[in-house]
Amino acid sequence: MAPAIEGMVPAIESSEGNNKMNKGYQYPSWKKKLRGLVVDNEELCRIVEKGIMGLCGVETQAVETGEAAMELIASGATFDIIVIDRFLPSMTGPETARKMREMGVESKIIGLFALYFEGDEEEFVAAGVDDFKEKPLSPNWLVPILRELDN
Amino acid sequence: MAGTDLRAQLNNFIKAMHDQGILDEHFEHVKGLQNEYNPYFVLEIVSIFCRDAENVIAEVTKFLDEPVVDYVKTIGLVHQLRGGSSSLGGSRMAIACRELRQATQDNKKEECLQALEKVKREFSTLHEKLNVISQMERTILTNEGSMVQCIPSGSIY
Repeated sequence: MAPAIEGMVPAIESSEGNNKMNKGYQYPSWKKKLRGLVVDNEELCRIVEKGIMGLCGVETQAVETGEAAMELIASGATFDIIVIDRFLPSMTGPETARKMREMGVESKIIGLFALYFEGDEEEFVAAGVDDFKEKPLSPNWLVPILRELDN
Repeated sequence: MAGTDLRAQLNNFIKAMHDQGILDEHFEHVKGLQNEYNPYFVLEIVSIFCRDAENVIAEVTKFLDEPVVDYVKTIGLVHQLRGGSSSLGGSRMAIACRELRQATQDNKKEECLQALEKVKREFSTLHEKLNVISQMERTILTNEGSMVQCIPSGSIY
């Protein structure tokens, strides 16, 4: 089955000082060209997360598995921010994050939980993620992180 | 103008869903992903959500029906369900999923079954409202001149 909406337009680069408006929400634009990677096995989550990152001004790719993410990185792709779901088939989210760090990936890595209970983050944190979040991935939460990356 | 009226009607309907807690602000961000390059985005996302949620709920029901419940698999499915509903903005359903997850913590089948019933009720409500939203979106798109054919699940163009 062809992935739905995977071909959507990447983040629009606007001119300086311009933000994108959408029905009252002001989405940012950045000085740098920010690149992101979403690693999420769930189709709906992956599509929405990629879209939200795009709305927030990040040119984003999305893959379904940790292995696919590692292939991208091994091929030379670099990202400013990587968002990884906790539960991935075969290579888990924390395992993926750990392998990325072992490969020297210095991107901001965010661990994502469909459902978070206190203590769940330990594996992710031990693997070297910078932060973690319970879904959904929201612009309000993402934008301050992107602002830091842009600076 | 008819198109404007229907768009206003849709917005009012969505606002009512917000007021009832059925949808939260994240649904607005999801709607914000619809544009001229992805005019059917909302329709497609709703279709994916409803299809996947139905399948997952059926699987959870099957696991909880077993004499010996596989809680590990059940928990994985509940995570999936909560992930999808929260990513769509289905707030009350996401809360019901959390309660089901909490129930699995103690491995108490009866509590899990009660929590699952609540998930099913919230999904039924959400599904019904999303169908209304989808129908209105289709009509708006048709009125705006986009050719909206029957959109098979899983495809977009």
